[in-house]
Formats: sequence, structure tokens, C-alpha cells
Amino acid sequence: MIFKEMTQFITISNSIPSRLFLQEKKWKREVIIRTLYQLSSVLKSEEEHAKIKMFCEKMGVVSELKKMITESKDWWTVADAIRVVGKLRITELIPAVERNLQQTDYEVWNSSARVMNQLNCNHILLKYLIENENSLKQFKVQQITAILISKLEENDIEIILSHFEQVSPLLKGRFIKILGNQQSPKALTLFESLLSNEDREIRIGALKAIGEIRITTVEDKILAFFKSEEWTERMVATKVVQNCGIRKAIPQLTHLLADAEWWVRLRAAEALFSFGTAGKQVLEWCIENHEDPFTRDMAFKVLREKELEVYSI
Amino acid sequence: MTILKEILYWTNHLIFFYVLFIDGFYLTLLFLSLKQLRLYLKRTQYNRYENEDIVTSELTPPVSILVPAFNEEKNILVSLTSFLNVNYPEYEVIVINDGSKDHTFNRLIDHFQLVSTNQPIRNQIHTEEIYGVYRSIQYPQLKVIDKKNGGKADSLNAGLNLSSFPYFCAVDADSILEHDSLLKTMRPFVEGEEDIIACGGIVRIANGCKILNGRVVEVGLPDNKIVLHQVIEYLRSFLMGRLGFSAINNLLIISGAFGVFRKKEVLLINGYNTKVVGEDMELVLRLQRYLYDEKMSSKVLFLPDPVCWTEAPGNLADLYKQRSRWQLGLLQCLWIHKDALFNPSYKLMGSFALPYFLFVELLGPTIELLGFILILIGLYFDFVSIPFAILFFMFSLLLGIFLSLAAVFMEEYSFRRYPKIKDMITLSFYCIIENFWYRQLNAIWRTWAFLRVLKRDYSWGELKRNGFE
Repeated sequence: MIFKEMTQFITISNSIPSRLFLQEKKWKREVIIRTLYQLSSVLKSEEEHAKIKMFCEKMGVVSELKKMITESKDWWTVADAIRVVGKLRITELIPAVERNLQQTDYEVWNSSARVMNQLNCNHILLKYLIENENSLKQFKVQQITAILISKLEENDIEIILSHFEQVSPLLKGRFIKILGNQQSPKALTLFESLLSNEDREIRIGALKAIGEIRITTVEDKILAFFKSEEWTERMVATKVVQNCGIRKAIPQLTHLLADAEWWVRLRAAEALFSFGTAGKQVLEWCIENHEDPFTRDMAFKVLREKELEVYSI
Repeated sequence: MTILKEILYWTNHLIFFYVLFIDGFYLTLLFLSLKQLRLYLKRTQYNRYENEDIVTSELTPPVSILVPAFNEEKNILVSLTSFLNVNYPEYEVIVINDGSKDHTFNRLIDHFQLVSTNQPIRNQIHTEEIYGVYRSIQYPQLKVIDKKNGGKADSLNAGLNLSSFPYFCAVDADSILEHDSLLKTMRPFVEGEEDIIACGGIVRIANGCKILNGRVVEVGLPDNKIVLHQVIEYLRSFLMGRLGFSAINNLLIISGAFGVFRKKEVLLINGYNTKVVGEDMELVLRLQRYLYDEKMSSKVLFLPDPVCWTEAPGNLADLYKQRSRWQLGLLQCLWIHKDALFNPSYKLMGSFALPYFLFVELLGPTIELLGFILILIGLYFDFVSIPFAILFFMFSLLLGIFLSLAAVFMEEYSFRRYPKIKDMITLSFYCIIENFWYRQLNAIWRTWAFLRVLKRDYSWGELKRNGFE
């Protein structure tokens, strides 16, 4: 009954919304809020969200949520209120939510970060990260950047690029991950410049990110990683070569098929397979003629598996 | 006669204090479990991560599901259907056919259209000979290893060698994972608030449930009385025991039927021990010791919500075999790790968790049985006062009923898997009934298992499976 009335109100087919407020019992009110919450999760248009918001204001939900966020001592109450703010998109409460980023309770700061992301306030999250990174625990930095990866706007990319040099290597690594995930060509120059960075993690991150963007202007620099002493660099470079389609790397990839590291051999074989007939011919040649049994095994494994995948599709 | 009277007098007193001592353990565990359950419910109710968030998070690691299978032709297809349909972004299922003598392997080949592949295996742990590795055309995430029989631990080690992902989930081939169980179990790993090294979920009994296409579609209690007693036992063991130990970060067992582990550390400690029966407990014990030795702050966790359904023995003969195996496994584990017992380097593990397993789980049933016999002898020879015997009996009985009822009501308060009132009444009724035959029978079996170990008789036979559907 409540659901019917509320749906009627939201779709404006019922002109007497006050009927809903005749019942003041707490549980009915709770049912309405929860139903609004559910509805809000599936609504797409801004117009529909505006209706929900108006409805919440009339019910006094906004002031109630603000009180819960700012005054409650129980973490679960605060975290729940923050989540409702995000779902119902109550932008007026952003400042109250923002203050909770500083909280130590996992649920509270995590919900706050998620809500910031939902309400397109990534700039607040980025500012918080950049200003406080030295005092934050590593996992908090990871969690917040993981949230940022899920949804990022163009102007957020600008913020990251403009602050990149001033942050710590840890945050740099996370920023590279975010930008790579966005496949933003804007960041390509930065990534290519980071290939000669002293920090191994940053170099690998930059390589991965170039692989995500699938474009590079420094093919030779990428191929130079095949000679790296670090097997992780050799492995990631093969992936970049595959993603960017650098066909001139076929001879080096053939050489990497005999690498001492299992993962490098695997990625090299996969990269070769991705180059179509030319790569497959190399793999077939290796199966028949290569002197190293590990190379033969890997070439056979990848060729067989990839063929099976094609067959199952 | 006076000497005998003295001995009986002191033995009865000793047993009385022992009963007080173990009841203290139980009540402490109950208190810890209640506290932990409340916290868990709050966290899941106002959860940080919803399932959808975990599916899309870049922090969600891929997982290898390892399924050791020996003569599992009746259940394997249903179980695999459930494993292949779990809600998780990236995972592989590795079935290890441990030299089955029935049609397990043929069923897998036919049903999943397996083809042989020349898959190189990284032999990080030594295992019995691998005959071949197969992949499914229908399910790209399914791999099957066919190997020489070497036991469950050896199969799991073979699965570890083949697995590609940094986490693995060990499950039994006669169990069913709920759709979101893996996701729920991985939640603490993804959240990263604490460094989690292993995490176990709850195992519930599938007998009596309606199962369709690898999913439990209707939860119900079994008609079989023996299985009904086991339902209560499982609730008590998981919701009270494991949850309590998890609360103090001293969980020493993650059920072999369902547990997730970080592969790196498991490989560092050389995988599963193939020489013991209770390989699941032994692995967790070694992991915990490793954490203490390396002074790591990582945790082993139990979550009461992710569910794995399993088939329980439906007759006394099979139940006896199972309990004998458990008792033998426990004895072996405690023997291997005897140097950690009361060892101050292992803090709570050495001073609380291991003594619990020794005095309550291992010796408890035998001492209980001995006490019962001695009190009867004492009553016969008039060495024990009747009011004291009645009081003692009533105290043990009421506490036993209270603990079982507490577990059942914890279930009702938290997850309500048995929604019918009739089911709750039945379970409550069996909480009382079990104290008049089931407890004593278990005590006899476990004592007998002890005696068999002394005679070096380690056989327990194979359990008969009826199949899920």
C-alpha cells in the first residue's frame, strides 16, 4: 500500500502527497525511507532523483541524516546515514560527509569516500589524499584510490596530473594505476617519461599503464625492457608489446620464450599468439624445433589453450 | 576398600573440577562468539562493501577453487555446478581426481567435455605422479588434474602447484557453495583493514534441503534423527567455537570443506601435510605458528555468514567412521605441535587455544565417559552422595542444553536459515534429547578411536554417499 502510494507520488499521478504523512509511526517512515533508498539505486535520470530529493526534504529526512552524521556516537549509525546520503544523492550534506573522511572507524571513512565518489566529488577525495598522505595508513590510500578507479571525471585527471610530482612514490604508483585504468591518452607523455624512473615499482606501473592505453611513441624504449634483469619488467613489457601491437618485437619475443621465468615465457607465448599467423607460425616452429623443452611446453600450452578458447566461443 | 574409596573420592573430585574447567572454556567461548557475532552483524548490516562493489573493485584478487575428489561420482557434478556458478569476478576451478576407483573421472570427461592439455605444472610441492591435466571446452575456468592416489592433502598440493592465482579456496567435492559465499569470504581480504592470511566460512548440513542445479533452493531440516543431531553439533561448533576463537585471533581450524588461504604463505610452509588425517587443522596450526614465529600481525578469520552446504552421514556406521577420523586427526595435529602447548612464545595459542583442543576436544569425551562410569560405581558402593550425584548430573545436563540452545538461538538471532517455527522447535527439542544418547555415543566412539590409535589401527573406511539430488 505504502509502495503504491509512494510510486504514485513519484510519478506525479497522485496530487495529494500529504496523505503519506498521515501515518507517523516510526516503522512506516522507515519503510518509506528504505524504499526510497532502493528506488534511488535504480533511477537513472536527474529529474527522477530530484523528485526523490524533494520528497526527502519534505519528510525531514535531510535534517535527520545531518543530525545522525554529526551527532551520533555509534559508528554504525553514522556509516549508515552516510550511505543513505549517497544513495539519495543529498548534495547539501557533502560537507558533513567530508568531515568523516578523517574518522578512524573503517566503516565511517570508507562510506564517506564512496559517497564522495558517488556524488562526483572526487576532487575532495584527491585533495584529502594529497594533503594527508603522510599520515594515512597504506591500506587507506589503497582503498580510496580503488574507489577513485571505479569512477573518475576528466577534471579529476587534470588534478592528478598537476599534483603528480609533489606526491610520494606510493601515491604516485596509485595515481599511475588510476590513470592507466582510465586509459587516458593525456597521461601518455607522463607515463613514457616515467619509464626511466629510478623506482622499479613506478617503472612497472608506467609500463602497465601504457599497456592499458594501448598506444606508445617509444617502442624502442619498451623493447629495451626485454633485457632487464628484473623478470617482472620483462613480463610486463611483453604484455605492453602485445597490447600495443608492436610486431617488430617478434624476434625478441621468440627469444623470451626460452626465458628462465615461467611467467615471462607464458606472456611471450601469449603475445606471439596475439600477432596472428606470424606469431602462430613461430609457436609451431618452437614446438617442433626448439631445443629447450620448457619453451616447447609453453608454446604447446598456449597454442592449444588459445585454440580451445576460440573453439569454445 | 578404603584405598579404593579414597581413589574414587579424589577421582570424582578431579572430574568435578575438570567439568567446571571445561564449562568455563565453553562459557568464555560463548561470550566471545556473541560479541563477535554482534560486531559481524553490525558490519554486514551497515556494510562497507556491497557484493557489487567487490565484484567491480580492482582490489578483488582472483581465486583458484581447489576440489580434491576421490570416489565422488554421486556428488561431483552437482558440486561442480555450484562452484562454476559462484558470483566472483575472476576465478578458476581445479578438480583433482585422486585416483578414484569409481566413475568420477569419466563423468567429468563426459559432462564437461574435457580435453587433454600439455599444461606445465610448477612443482613447488612434491606430489604423487600426475597422469594428465584436462580443460573443459564448455567452461574455460575449469581444469582437471588426473593423478595417482595420494590422499586429500596430496591432491590439494597438486592443485596448489597448478593454480595460477594468489589465493586459493579449498572445498570438498561433496559440498555446495552458495552463490555469494566466495564473495563474502573474500570481503575481508578486499577491505584490507586487517592483513588476512586465511578465512573460513560456515559449513551447514544439506540433508533435508531442496537442491536444484547445484543450488540450495529451500532450506529444511532432515527427517533423519542422526543428521538432526549433527545440525545442532555443526551450529555449536561453528557459531560458538570457531567464532569465539576467531574473536581472539586464535582460530586453529578452518574446515577442509570451505576455506580461503593466501597461497604465498601456504607455499612457504610447504603446503598441506600428507602424513596426517586432519590436514585442514594441521595447515592452520602451522600457519598460526608461522605467524607467531615471524612476528606477523596477519590473521586467520572465521566468518559465520558465507555458507558451504555438505552432506552429513545418515547412519551410525558412517558417523562412527567420520568421528574416528576426526579424533585421529586431532590427536595427530596435537602430537605434531605438542611443543607449542603451554609455550609462552605462542601466547594465547599456547595457553588457551591448544589446551582447549587437548583437554576439551580430545580428552573431554573420554573423561566424560570415565566420570559417568565412576559416579555409577561410586553410587553402587555408596562412596558418592546421591544428592551430589544428582546435582552434578543436573548441572552437566543443564549446561549442555544451555550451550546447544544458545547456538540454535544465535542462529535464529543472526541468519535465520531455518525460517519455519516448526524447525526451531524441533532443533530446540533435539538440544535436550542429544544429552541422553548422542553425547554418550560420541564419547564412546571417540574413546574407542583413542584405543585404536594405541593399537596403531589408522583405518576408518570410506563414507557412503547418497548424493544431493
